[in-house]
Amino acid sequence: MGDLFKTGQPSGVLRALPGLLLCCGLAMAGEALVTNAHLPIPGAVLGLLCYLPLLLFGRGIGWSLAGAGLLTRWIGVMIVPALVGLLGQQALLSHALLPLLAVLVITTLLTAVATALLYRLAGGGR
Amino acid sequence: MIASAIICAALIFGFALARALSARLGHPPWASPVLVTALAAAGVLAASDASIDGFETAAYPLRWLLAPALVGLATVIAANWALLRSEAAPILIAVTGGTIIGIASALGLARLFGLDRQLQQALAVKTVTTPFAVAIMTQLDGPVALAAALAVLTGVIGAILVPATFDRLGIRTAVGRALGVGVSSHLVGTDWLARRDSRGGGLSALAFVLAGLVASVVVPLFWRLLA
Repeated sequence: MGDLFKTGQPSGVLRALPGLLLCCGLAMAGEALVTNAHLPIPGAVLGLLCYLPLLLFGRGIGWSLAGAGLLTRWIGVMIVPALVGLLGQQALLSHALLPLLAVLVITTLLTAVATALLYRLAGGGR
Repeated sequence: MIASAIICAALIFGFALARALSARLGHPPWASPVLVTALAAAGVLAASDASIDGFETAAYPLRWLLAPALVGLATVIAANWALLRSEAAPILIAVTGGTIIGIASALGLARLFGLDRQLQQALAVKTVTTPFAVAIMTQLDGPVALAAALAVLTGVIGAILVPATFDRLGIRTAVGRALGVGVSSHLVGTDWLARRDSRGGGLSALAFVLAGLVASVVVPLFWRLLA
């Protein structure tokens, strides 16, 4: 989204392909592991946890950045299908709209303030 | 197969347009390209009275890519590794604590207001960014669309209200503010912040990815209370 993810600059699809394949492979491997070992966390999260040490300590993993950057820049459009699926649930939403909005507003502000205060309490910013 | 390619291409094109429109308006949170594209797609679907199931099947390749994209978010942690190392303990305590407070407060209030069980389940992941929300809900067999929608809405609400709330409460530490925006308003909030302050944007991005990791472990633990 925007210039949030600066790791992989826009480039040709070919340059992005290796990283794209790596991320797909890690996501699928994570999924397979989670299914077979009955782990309680999502497979893609395992994939992320495998990719991170490669990025931090692996040498010559730079070839994957263009593909990973391409994927993260387009996360927005991947979310759209799930959102459109809401059309099937208007009944559920319409009778609870106000309390739902109240929960969203109150908890979002509470979470933000709690996080900032916890940072200070834990000794941050000294 | 062909319908799928056409619908995915149309969504990508529509999203690119929405992104350009949002840039032209100066990136206000309410014109989030995700929301605009989803509303437009929903409008087209309603007008053409095509079935939602058919649309979801056709758009599945795009949704499938969310998992590889989540893996790609590791680059966000790697890019901000030096920042994380410089204050590891306070950052991790703030993000972990904030995420747990976010989950617990959403579940508590949802119960208090007597919301539907499905809504309660979806609210459990409102404080994580949508790729994580979708991954966690898919894993737990929960309401995926609802969770995705509430996560996006949370981001929009947060981007509009959180900075002003910080000002009003006198919370001025830049790092604390960035972490608060990241955990509470994830992608949309971070996008908003990154356009004004790039170091803050990096920290906020780091915070929302870490919050997603925390939620991936914590939400399944809470899940039995909701099932």
